[in-house]
Amino acid sequence: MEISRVMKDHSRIFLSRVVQYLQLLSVSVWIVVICGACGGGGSSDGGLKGIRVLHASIEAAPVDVLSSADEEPLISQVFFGGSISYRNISAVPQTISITRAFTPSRVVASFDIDGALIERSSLLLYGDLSSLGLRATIIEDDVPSRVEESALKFVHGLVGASAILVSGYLDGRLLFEESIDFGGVSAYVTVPMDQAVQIVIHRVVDGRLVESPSFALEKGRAYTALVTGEVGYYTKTVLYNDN
Amino acid sequence: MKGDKRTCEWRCRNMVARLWLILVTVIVAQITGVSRIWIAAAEPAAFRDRNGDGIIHILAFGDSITYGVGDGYEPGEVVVDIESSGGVGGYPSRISEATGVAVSNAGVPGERMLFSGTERFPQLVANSDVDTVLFMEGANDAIHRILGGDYRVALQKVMNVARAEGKHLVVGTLPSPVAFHESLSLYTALYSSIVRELGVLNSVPVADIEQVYAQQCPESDECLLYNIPEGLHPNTAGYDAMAEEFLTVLGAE
Repeated sequence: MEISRVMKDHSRIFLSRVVQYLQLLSVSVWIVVICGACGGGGSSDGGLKGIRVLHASIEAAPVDVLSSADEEPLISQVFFGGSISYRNISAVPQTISITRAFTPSRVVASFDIDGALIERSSLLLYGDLSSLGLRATIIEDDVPSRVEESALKFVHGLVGASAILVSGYLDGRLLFEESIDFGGVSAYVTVPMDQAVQIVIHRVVDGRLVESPSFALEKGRAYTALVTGEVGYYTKTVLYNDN
Repeated sequence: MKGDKRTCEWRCRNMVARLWLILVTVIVAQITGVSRIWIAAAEPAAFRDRNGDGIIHILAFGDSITYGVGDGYEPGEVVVDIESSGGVGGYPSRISEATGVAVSNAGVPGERMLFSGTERFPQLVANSDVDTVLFMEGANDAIHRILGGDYRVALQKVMNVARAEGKHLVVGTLPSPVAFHESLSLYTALYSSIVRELGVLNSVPVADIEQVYAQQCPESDECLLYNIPEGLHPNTAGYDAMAEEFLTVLGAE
């Protein structure tokens, strides 16, 4: 009788411990769920004003962006073809520098800008290290104030093509055609929303096909398509949200 | 007696309530994907099915030292020259055996990273089902005395392609050649330092094979990890050591 009572007590204690452990686990799940729901606003696509980097140089290491008006880097470790949102900058005149990641002394390019005048701008890093040299330029992202369907513009950072011809098709019908010089940018073109638009990119000099991505764009959104890589080696078109 | 019964009832209700909470939590975790986040967090990045095709595929990319030339010779055997490239072995097959994950051996004996290796890399990796790439190349670049600056640019291209394709990349430093090939060690040491530097800049994990060899072979001419006196290709023990280092970096050990 005594043994059976002790065994019952032991099994009750064991069961109680298991339930306590599972309960603790449940509480931690709820914490994760609640924190996940609360933290939703802080996604990487959050910034809609300021500057961003379009890293189009396939030979270049990741870069940081520094400002003379800030002690901390504005943007850290931007990778080739990497997607980052706009970052706010101080509304004062300042020097913005693109440097090799974690190496402030290795400046790739610098720009004097007035932060008060910057709405949305992209720092384009392009070129290569072996023949053309690394280059950088600022692109004003003049997003149309009202986008009825979708808006799309192209940036040419593809090594091995002094100019590219970008054509957009929907169901075989030509929607637009833009010729862009190396390091240049097209104007925004209007693209039907939510439909797979076929993009075809040729090198102008010999008509060589270099890329043919397909995009379905959202209503009211503006995008930048960065054409990057190196002809005959590796090419990629990366899509960035502009608004 | 009555009091005991009431206490028992209360305990039972309490237990049932707790079990309900747990059940609801499990359902919520399943719906919100928290369980998947937990599983993913517990999984090493190298063994994640990154393209969601249901198969984890690792690609080992490199030259004869990835292919496995020199494998099968035991430490202490005298190996002057390795004429046959032998069967595919080396560290990739050992990693596959240890983890049960498919590891494709994309080692090409005699290949230099500059030009041939860098050119071949996107052809194998872009739009492929590969989830993780192990990359180690440079011994043949050392034979041709390729400059460090050129090696750096080529390796950065490889890293950029891997990242743009969403692949997990692990790069390996180069074991320092000894005996008949000791003269190459100046170049391989330079390349290894570039591998470490670009590993940090690009947040790419590095399997420091050069360090493993340096620790286990203080007397380089008598290194038990190399075929001696050939001194360029690892022997069975050498490939074991390389696999162990890769497995550590991959998070399998």
